[in-house]
Amino acid sequence: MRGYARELDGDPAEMLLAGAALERAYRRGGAGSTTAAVPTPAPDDVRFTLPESSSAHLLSMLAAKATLLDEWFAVALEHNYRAPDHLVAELLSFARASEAHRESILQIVGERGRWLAAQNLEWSKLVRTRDANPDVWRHGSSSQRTQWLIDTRRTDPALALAELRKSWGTERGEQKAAFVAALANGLSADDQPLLEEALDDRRKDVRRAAVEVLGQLPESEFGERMAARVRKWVRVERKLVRSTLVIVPPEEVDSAARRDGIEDRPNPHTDYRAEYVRQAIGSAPLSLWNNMIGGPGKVLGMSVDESWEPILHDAWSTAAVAQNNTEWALELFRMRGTATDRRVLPLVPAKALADLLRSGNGDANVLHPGRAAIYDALRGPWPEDITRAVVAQWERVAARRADGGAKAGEFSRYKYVASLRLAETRFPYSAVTLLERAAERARDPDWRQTFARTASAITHRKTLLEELK
Amino acid sequence: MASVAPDAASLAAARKLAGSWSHAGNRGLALWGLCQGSGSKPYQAVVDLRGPAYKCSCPSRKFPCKHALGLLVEWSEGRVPSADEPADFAAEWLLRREEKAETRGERAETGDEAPKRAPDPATAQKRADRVASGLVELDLWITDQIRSGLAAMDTSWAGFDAVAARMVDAQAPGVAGTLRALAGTVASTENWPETVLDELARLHLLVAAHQKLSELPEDLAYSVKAHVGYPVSTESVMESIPVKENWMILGSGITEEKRLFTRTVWMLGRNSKRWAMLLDFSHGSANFATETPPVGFLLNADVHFYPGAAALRARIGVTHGEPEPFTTMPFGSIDTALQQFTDALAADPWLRSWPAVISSVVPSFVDGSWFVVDESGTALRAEGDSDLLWKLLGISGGYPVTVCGTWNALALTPISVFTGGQVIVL
Repeated sequence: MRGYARELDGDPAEMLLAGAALERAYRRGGAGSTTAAVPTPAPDDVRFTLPESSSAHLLSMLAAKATLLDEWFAVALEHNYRAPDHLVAELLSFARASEAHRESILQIVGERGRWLAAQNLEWSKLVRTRDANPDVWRHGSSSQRTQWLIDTRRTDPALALAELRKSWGTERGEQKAAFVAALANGLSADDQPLLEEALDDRRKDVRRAAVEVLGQLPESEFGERMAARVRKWVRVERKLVRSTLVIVPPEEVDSAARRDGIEDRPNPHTDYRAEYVRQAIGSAPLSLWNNMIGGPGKVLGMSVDESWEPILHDAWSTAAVAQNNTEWALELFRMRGTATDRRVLPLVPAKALADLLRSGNGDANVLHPGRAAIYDALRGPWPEDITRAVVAQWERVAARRADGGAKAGEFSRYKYVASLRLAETRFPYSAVTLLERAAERARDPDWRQTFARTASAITHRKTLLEELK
Repeated sequence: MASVAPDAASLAAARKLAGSWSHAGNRGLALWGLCQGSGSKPYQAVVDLRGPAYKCSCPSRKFPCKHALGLLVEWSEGRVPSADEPADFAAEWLLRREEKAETRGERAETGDEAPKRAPDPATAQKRADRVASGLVELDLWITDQIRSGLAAMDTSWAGFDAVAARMVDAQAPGVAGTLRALAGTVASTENWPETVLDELARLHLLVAAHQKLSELPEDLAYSVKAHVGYPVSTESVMESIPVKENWMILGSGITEEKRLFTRTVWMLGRNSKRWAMLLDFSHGSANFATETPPVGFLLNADVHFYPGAAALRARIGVTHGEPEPFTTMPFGSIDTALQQFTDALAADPWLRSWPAVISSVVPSFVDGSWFVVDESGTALRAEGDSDLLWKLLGISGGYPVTVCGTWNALALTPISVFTGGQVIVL
């Protein structure tokens, strides 16, 4: 090269350019390798790789935010599938962009996903350090610490409690409420002393969180104290035909009751004293009524002053949900039907929900707010007869739409979007024939299209779920 | 269907069209149907399954649009009845395609850039003169820049574009492209004078070589002409002596710039270890005249190379038998890749990159830089689209894989990865 360079002659600019060209060829032609460290290999994932077609469908469903995703993930994870390695990066991008299916995505990408995410600044927050080592708790950031507490409460509640007890006295106030709330996972009688301490905390949010958690622990001293209050304020008057519940609310609550979280809650519809009763019953163990009266059926059958009825039912619903009591949930549902508190519905067995829907008359309206909530709570696949009833009702609506008239707008398919969307994921596969027949019969073009589209969505769902099996 | 859809969302949208179809029908390899959209007039979608090719009256910019895809969905689920005659709205387009296919059958191959008539020596000479005078001007401009110093250079986009436009007039589009790219380099690189000097030196060398074109060895002269941007007729390529080989299809991708779609396919000869790159262009949509063999398949074919000292671009001629999948790859080391690049550069000093297959390397991301590392710890830097590099890392999981990419003396740009007996395009 030096030889060539020496031969250059003439115009300085041209000499410079020729020299640069030579240098360029020399440098590029002689480009060499470097050295670099390699990452520790990812741990093995022994699960089966998703079938190729399912992998492709997963991406298209995520892109389209398909309603089917919940069910699809449940089946895929139950069948022990993991995502193929070449999709892991793209799936992590989806998990980062949207919270909707984050947990499911993180499960399906598994070990490889955790390994990859740990190396990417944008993804590393997605993967939690599921590390039982309390170092994270002792030195981590506040969100890491809360996450550690929640995770460890699921795997080793005693360890989590011990760590929290150790640092409780020095914790900063604004974090305490979140820590107390985390105790709801893996809750047991052992957590009582700390929760009792939290009831005396200076901060209101901490005290509230403790009341909330203690309400989920019926066999506790807190529960006992609440039960004692309820017994003082509620009396059973035994009569020959039907016994009566008589409620005598206190004029004022004592400081012990206030410590247990009973507070003044102004309510324009009720007396302020009634709110004390509502709170006490909502936090008291439901077993209390067993001793006082009998099973939930018997309690709910008691006669009571009608102004008290909504308050009592609301409080019992609160207690049933907090104490996860299905027996009470079912009894409340039997009693109140479509007026049942929505919080209770997930605790009610599917058969009871279906039975109520069956009991409706021919004009049962899926749009009726009370019924819509029950349909919503009824997990799929829905029984045949209910499916048929829903389709028949849509068909009646479609017919009225086709008939036209001033109120035709009421029967537009857009008014039924929620139920149609629900049907796509809850209808059994057998509904396809029903819907196709409905499409043939429909005179209104919009409804015809809607029936056909719903049928096609269910067929598509069947294909997607069956290729996983 | 997923393979023809422009993106996953389009395919999902296409599925939702079920029930919106009317007057759908199919005859032979043609499908058509009316799709009721939000407007009063339904969209007219037609698909020719050869190719495949699509036509739709909707204004969507995606191609194929959801209606064409929806028609395919309908057809694949058996909801398109066969008909004796296509519907009126489809007939004309199908007929035109039919005629086109016939004329194409008569001629051996259609080209993508060169006119079909025989080259006229007088026209060729005129072009060469035009290029030569244009390049003389360019060289004056280059030496002026050096004389007045790069610090005083007009590095604006307009500054480079003015010179580039002159090169387009002089029928040297290859040179024009380099000049336009420089504006971007200046804007995005910190030590741009180094890069600019590098590129000006490269162009200066190209001008010098063009002046001595008749004295150069034939292959090198072709390389010079290719870098300047002389067109090469498809016929002349197809007349060259082909290389018959078992070609492994290692990568394929489509890029778009100003509505010009470019499809690149990478192939490696299984025995000769020779590389070939197929390039196809299409204006307006990613609808290419020819089909490409699928990635991961072995194709026994006669391949005709475009002339040049380091020939890479090629066209497929006669094929022998159907493509078959392959499950093993010949070994390639980092040293071989570097040597092959150097050899290619020695033959064609204007070359920017050269393909390589590197076996048993672990992709690695260290302090913001990407590498592929072999067992001995020897590494090449890697670069490219970040989604693509993360995908590569996800596939490897810290285990060795075979990476196929292009090396440009600074970094390897991965194209595809071979692992577990299959090729995955990145």
